[in-house]
Amino acid sequence: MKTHLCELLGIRYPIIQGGMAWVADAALAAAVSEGGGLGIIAAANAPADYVRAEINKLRAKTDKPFGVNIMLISPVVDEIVELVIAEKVPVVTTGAGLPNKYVPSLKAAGITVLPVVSSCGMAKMVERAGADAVIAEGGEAGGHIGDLNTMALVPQICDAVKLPVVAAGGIADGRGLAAVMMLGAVGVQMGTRFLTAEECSIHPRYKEKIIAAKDIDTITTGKRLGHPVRALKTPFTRAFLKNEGDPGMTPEELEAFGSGALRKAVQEGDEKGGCFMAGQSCGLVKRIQPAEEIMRETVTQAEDILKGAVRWVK
Amino acid sequence: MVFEKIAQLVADACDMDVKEVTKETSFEDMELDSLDVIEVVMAIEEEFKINLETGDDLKTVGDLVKLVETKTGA
Repeated sequence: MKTHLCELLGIRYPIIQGGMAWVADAALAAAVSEGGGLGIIAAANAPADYVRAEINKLRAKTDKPFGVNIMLISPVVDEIVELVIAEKVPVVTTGAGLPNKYVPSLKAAGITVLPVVSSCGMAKMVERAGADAVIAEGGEAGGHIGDLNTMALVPQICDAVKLPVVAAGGIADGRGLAAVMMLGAVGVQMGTRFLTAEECSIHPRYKEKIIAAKDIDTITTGKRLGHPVRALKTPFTRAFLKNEGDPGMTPEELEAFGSGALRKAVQEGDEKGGCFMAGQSCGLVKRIQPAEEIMRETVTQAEDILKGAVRWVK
Repeated sequence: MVFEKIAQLVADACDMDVKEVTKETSFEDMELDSLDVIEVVMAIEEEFKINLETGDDLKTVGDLVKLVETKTGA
């Protein structure tokens, strides 16, 4: 399988690893890139020094293309943009808003820019700003999510822009990859499936919880705050939902209640206080395996399905 | 003139009476999320034949009016 995304990014498999905050570090990103996909280091809210150190760690492990995900509402977003330009990072993905004001300087530095979008309007805006492709992420995804689902969002975005479209949200195997290619996508971004990559450094309990999770085990919190988050149903997310429904809780109190919960899940595996972000595809994630194997399995399965699909048309 | 046109586009976006829209009206009060605001921005761009290149840092109708006035030199 070779798609336009492979050519655009210089990768073997049309698979991008999600820029998961606290999760997507140099170890995971290097394994994905070395394995033939596009590994992503998540800058999230981290200081530039941390991100620079992760970039250096990744470069010590692989010379393959990789990316940095820039979270646009980070307090240090300007410094991160300067850093990726100075470091000549090959690819940037962006999340949590419109990256338009940064696109010209990123492009001038020769960086390939792929914003994550959740509506046709956003996709058109970033196309106009000069983005190279868009990642259309549906609400099945884990972490911060939009409203539309992948099935409805991807073909509409394919119609709205001329840019290549990468699909994300709800995709964890070759069936998902084959399906979104039928919708017009040229590749996928997967997050949840990579949580159980051997090279992913999250707490072992986080991985166990993902493997144990069934179809109905995620929940969306934070709708009242205007930025919904999908995570596993745990004592923390249940308590958050309860607080969200309590009119006595101010938005500030709610934010404070949620603060630090993702870090507790990732670093401590804290089953009570942790927020284990995960997508609806968690029920498809069955075991711990190397990142390269995850991608090879996904692409092989998609190839078989796509070859077999011709039987429907006679 | 700029305000009236923008107020109408905003009112259309959330099915409210244009008379209720003031410069102080915030998108949050109107239950418009960031994606809705992008749609409003695109409608304004079409109306005024300009490029706003923004959408994220706008909080109120007044912010939009100010931005359009800067762009059009009105």
